[in-house]
Amino acid sequence: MAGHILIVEDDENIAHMIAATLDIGGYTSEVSADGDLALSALASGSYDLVLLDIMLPKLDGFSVFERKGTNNTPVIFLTAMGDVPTKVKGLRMGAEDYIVKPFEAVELLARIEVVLRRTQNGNTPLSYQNITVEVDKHLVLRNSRPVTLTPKEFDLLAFFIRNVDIALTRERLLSAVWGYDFAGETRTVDTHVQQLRKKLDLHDSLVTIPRLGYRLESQRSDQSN
Amino acid sequence: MKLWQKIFLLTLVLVILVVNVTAYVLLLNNHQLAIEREQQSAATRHVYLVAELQNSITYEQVVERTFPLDDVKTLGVAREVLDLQRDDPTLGATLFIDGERVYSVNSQPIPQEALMLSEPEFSSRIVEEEGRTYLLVSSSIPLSERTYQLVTSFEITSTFDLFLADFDLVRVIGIVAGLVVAGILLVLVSTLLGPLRNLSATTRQIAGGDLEQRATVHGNDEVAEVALNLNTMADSIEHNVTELEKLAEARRVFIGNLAHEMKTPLTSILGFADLLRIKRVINDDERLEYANVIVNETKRLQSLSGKLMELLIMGSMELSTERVSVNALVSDLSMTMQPIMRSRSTELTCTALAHDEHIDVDVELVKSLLYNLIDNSIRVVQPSGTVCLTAAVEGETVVLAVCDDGPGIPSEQIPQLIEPFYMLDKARTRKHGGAGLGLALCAEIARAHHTELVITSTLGEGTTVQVGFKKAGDHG
Repeated sequence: MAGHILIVEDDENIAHMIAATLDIGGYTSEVSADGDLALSALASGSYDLVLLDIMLPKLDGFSVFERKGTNNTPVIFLTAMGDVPTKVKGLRMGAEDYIVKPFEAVELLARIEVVLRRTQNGNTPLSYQNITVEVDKHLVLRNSRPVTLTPKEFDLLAFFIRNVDIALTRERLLSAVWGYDFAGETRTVDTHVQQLRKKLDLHDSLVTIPRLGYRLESQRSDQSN
Repeated sequence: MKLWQKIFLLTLVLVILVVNVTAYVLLLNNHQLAIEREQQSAATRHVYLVAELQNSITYEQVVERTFPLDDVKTLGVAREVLDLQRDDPTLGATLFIDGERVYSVNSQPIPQEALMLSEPEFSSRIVEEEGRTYLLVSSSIPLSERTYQLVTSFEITSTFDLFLADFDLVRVIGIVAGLVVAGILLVLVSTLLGPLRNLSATTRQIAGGDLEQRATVHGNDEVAEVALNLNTMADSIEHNVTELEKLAEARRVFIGNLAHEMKTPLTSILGFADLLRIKRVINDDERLEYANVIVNETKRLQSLSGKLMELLIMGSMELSTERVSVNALVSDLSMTMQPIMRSRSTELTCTALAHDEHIDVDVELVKSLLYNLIDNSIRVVQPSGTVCLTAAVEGETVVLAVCDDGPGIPSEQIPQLIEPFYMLDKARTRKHGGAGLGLALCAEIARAHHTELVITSTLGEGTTVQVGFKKAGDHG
């Protein structure tokens, strides 16, 4: 799912890091280094999403949010302030989500994905090579023929396809698909991955990364260095 | 029981007791006097009647020329005398011979026994019969060789009725007076204790956290004294609480800033490290760039924790002061700074004292202070700008100053400069790996030496930071 995202962040390194993360998620991005620049960027450009830092020079994130007026671009607050009142304030103002620094790249991508899917009424089916996943209908087609998957296998496949070429740790997969962080149960992930490989013939493209987790690769690994 | 209730009830009981006892004593005394009056008048009449009887008998003896008269005649004469008393219904008279009733007039409902119990000699007593009260007077009279006994009875019911009526009246007056006294007391007590109630309410409010409340002081009685003391106490509590709140707020801000300053590099480190880990294809340029950021940001964290430790230690450390020459200090710093100045192509002008002085300071800390100040100045001046370090004597004080010809600081921001994590230009400060703790540390060092930083600045012309140290006494 592609999109154009505005990053409002005063720390150069962090802005760069977010841009690099968005890049591997297939998004394009622009950076505004302070609140005033963010407002003028919002007024002139068109974005699918804004990642908005709260502690900004000149105009803080909350003020930017208030002053953007009728601009309906979804906003995710991105901040070091992890206290509950600030979070509640951000969400009550109408932000789509609230991410506390520091964060992992995959978490950022997952959150962005959720917001974009929600705001873009994204009913476009996910596809990977000869596999098509229609999330709403809970349907998986391989070479246009339906494949039967358990609900967890289905969610796992969708998460892999949404994060093609990104190495995903077992913990990340657990919390994304099973919804909890439970280190002792990472074997559950392994068995489900094996089922996916068998049912969809992904032995070569759904690779195991030693001591880390799994990655669904866009091309055969022998084509990359 | 509340104080006002105690005062009210005790006073009320006391007043009612005193009023009633006095009234009853007076009443009883009056009654006693009234009875005595009745007794006197009764005795007078009795004696008169006896005299009448004796006179009539003597007269009859003279008329009859018989001495003594026989019983029948004597009794006849006595009857005539006694019959004369019939007109007065309050007087009853009975005549006895040897305990035998021989004649009576206006016989009142007094039983025989009551009459008979009368003493033979002159005596009087009070008897009650059928709700009526009688005064009996009796005496023995010798008439014609025989001894008669005359008992007269006077009805004194009205005297007793009067007493009872007065008694009832006193009771009613007592109750009414009690109620009136109660009312007055209530008003009085509540008026007198009103300030105490207000005081109590104020105390409760203060205890409840409304520290700005103060008691109103009326007059100069004990309550007013308590109110004054309470206000003094509240003042000091409010002062202390405000100080504590300020401290807590400063600490909260400090921790908030610290968290922010730590999370910023952490975000970059975690983000880039994660990118290195999860990206499938990564070229050398990218890897180098990511790793560089991680290393630099880690250094920033390191410097932050170092500065934090210094700041923390400064708060509790004992100074190791020694006597040092001001000029030696200046030239020492000048030497240390030269390489840095050269690399920045900035000039450091040092002005020493014409006549050297000594100061008692912790040399390492003061050097660190001046170093920090010069370092700050170097960062703001243009390349080929000047930074100066000057020493001067002002009275008993040696003033060390660091000045620059940089852009200057807006005057409203000067007070905030020494606050931890305060940065004039965040981006620039961060680029140098600063965390906004340098001036806070300098201020802390100055404070430990019982002096302070004096910052003066003009926009467009430059900034001067001065710190004064007391001149040491005689050399050596």
